[in-house]
Amino acid sequence: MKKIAFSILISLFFSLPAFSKTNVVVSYQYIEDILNKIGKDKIIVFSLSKGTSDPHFIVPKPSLISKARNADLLVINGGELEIGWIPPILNQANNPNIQSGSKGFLDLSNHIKLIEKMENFSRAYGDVHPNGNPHFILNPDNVIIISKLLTEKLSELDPINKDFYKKNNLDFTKKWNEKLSIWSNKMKNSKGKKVIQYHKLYNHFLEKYGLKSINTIELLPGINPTPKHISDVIKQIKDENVKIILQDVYHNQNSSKLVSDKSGIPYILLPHDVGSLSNITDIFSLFDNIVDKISK
Amino acid sequence: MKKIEKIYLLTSIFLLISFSSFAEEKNKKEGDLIEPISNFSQFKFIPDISVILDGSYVFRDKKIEDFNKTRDVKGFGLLDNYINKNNGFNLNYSELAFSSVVDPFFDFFTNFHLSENEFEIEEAFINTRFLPFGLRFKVGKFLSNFGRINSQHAHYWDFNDQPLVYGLTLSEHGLLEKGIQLNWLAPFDFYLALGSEVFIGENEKSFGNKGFVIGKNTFEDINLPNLVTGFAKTSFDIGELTFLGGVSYAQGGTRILEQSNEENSETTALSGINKIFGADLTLKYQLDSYSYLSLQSELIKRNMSGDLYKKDTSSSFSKNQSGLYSNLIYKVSNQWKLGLRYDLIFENNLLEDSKKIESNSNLSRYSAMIEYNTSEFSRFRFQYNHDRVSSLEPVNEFMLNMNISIGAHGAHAF
Repeated sequence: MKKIAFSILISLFFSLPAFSKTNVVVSYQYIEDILNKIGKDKIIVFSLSKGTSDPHFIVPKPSLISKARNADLLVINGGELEIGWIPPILNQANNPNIQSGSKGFLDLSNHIKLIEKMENFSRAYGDVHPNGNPHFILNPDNVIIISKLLTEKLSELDPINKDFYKKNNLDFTKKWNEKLSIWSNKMKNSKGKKVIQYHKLYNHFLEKYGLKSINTIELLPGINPTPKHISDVIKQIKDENVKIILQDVYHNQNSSKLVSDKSGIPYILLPHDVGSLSNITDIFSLFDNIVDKISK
Repeated sequence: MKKIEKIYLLTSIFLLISFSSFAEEKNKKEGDLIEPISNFSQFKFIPDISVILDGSYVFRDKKIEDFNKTRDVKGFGLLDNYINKNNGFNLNYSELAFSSVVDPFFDFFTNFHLSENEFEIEEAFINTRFLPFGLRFKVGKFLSNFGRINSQHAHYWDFNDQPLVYGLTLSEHGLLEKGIQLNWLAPFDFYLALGSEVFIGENEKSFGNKGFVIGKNTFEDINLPNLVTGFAKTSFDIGELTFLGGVSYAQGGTRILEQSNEENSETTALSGINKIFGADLTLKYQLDSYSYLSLQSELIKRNMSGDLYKKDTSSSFSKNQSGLYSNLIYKVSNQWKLGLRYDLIFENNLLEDSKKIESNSNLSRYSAMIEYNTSEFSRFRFQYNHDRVSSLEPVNEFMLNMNISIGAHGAHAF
C-alpha cells in the first residue's frame, strides 16, 4: 500500500509540468508585455530585468537563476545586449530546456535585420556591438515580426493552444497596424529633424521615421563624456541646427542638462522599454510616449 | 612567363584571403574558377578567447628580505602571494582563457595562468548542460565552490590581494583541485543551491597527498581521492537589497612537509586529518544600474589533528585556527569604486602532545582601496594595507595595480 502511494506521488511529481502553464523567462519587459498579449492566461512570464535599468548592465542576482531554473522557454533580445549578464544566469540555471540551441531558447536578434552592422570594429570605438545596433525594438515595424516569432514559438511548445495564440496575435497585429499609421502621421513633420542622443539607443526609431542622429552625449559607447567632447557637441548643435537631445532614463542626466542649458535646445526624457517610466505600462504606451515627445 | 604570372596571382590571392576571411566573399566574381582556399576554414568555431594582464607598482616600508620574514606565521607556515610579490614593478600574471560549447551535452572552460617564466593550467573543466532536475556536474581541475571568494578569479576580487584567512589556510591559489562537483539547484522561487565535491586533495596548506620520508618514518602517496567538500548557498531579494549566504565544509587527509625559512629551524612533517568550516554572508544594495553598496564577510575555521614528525621524534598535534574578513564596497559609478577591508585571525591554538605551543593568535590587516576604470576592460586600483600579520613590526604597503583584458567579453556571476 505504502509502495503504491509512493509511486503515485512520484509520478504526480514528474507529471506536474504537463498540467501547468508554459513558464517563460525573458530578458526585458517589452518581451514580457508582447508575450502576455499573445499567451494571456495560458502562460506565466517573468522578466529578468526592469525597464528602469540600463539593458547592458543587469546584475545577475541568484534569485534570477532560480527563475531560469524552472522555465520552459527563455526569450532574449540578443545582438550582444545581454552578453554581460545572461551567460552566468544560464550557466548556473541547471536547466537543459533553455540552453542555447534547444527548443526553449529564442534569440530575437537572429530573426531581425540589425542596422549599423560593423565591417571594421575595434574597442577603440568603445564597447561596440559588431553585429549591429541591438536596440531594434525601438523600430515599431519590428514589433510585428517579434509578435509573430513569439506566437510561433509558443505554438511549438504548446501546440494544443496553437489557435488561441494565433488569434491573439491577429488581434494584436491589427491594433498595431492601426497605431503604425497614426504614428507615421504624427512623425511626418519630424522627417529630417536632427537630434543628439546620450547613447545610440534610438537609431532604429530614428531611421524608421527619417530623423538624423548627429552625435552622442557619451564620448563612445560605454565611455563617459569628457569636457572637450561636451563643448564639441554644443558647438555642433549650433552649427548643424540640432533640435532636441534624447535622454534615456538610466544614464546620469547632468551632461544632457548642461548641453541643453548651453545650447538652448530642450532635452527630453524618453523611455526605451516597457516600465522605463511609471506611465509606460505596455508596448503601445511606449511608442505613444516616444512619438508624442519627439513629434512635439 | 604565363605560369609565373599565374603563381604570382595565386600567391597574392592566398595572401589576401589569409589577411581577411571575409575578403574572399567580396572578391569572388560569378564564373571565377578560383576555389576559395578557406573551403575547410573553421574560424566560426574559434572558441571565446580572452587575455588578462595584471601588473603593479608596490612600495613597502620594509626591505623585501625583512618583509618576507614577516610572512612566516607560526601555525600556518609561509603566507605566499603571487600578486605584488616584490617591491617596485611586478608582472603579477597574465591569464589566457578559452571557452565554448562542446556539443549539446557539455560546456568547456579552460584558463592558463601565465607568470613570467611559468605556464600553468589553472582551470580546465567541463560542465554538463543536459541534466534534468536542476542537476549539473563539473569535472576537471577547477576552483572549489567552498566559501564565497574561493571560486572567483583574482581579477574579479575587489582588492589587489587575497583575504588573509584564505592565504593562510587554503594557499595563494585558494582551494584549486582536480576532481568532480555535483551541483543541485532547488526548484524553489528563492535561490537554494546544494553541492558536493570530491577532489584529489593536493592543497599545500591544508591537505596534500604526497608521501614523504622523515627520519625513520616513510609515508607513501595517497592514491585515492583525499578531499570531500559540501556546500549550501541561499539568496533572496528584498527590494533592491540582495542577501546571499552560504555554509561550506571540507574534510580530507593532510600530508604536509614544512620547511620553515627561519634559519636553523628543522624540517617537520604532518600527517593527519583536516576539517574546515566556512560561513559567508553578502549584502548588496543596488543604487542604480552602475552603483551599489555591498558588505561581504567570511569566516573560516579549521581543525587539523594528527601526528607531527621531526627528524628523530614524533608527537601528536592539533591546530584550531579561525579567521575572518569583512569588506565594504561602494561602487560610485561605472568608473569609480571605493572599498575598505578588515582581516583578522583570532584563533591560533597549537597543541603538541597536549601541551600548548606559543603562537600569535591576533593577526590583522586593514586595507583601503580606490579604483578607476577607463572602460569595462581596464582598471587601475590603488590600495593601502596596514599589515599586522607578524608579531614583528607592522608593514605598510602601497600598491597600484593595473588590470587589462582583451578579447571575449567576460560575464561574471553575482
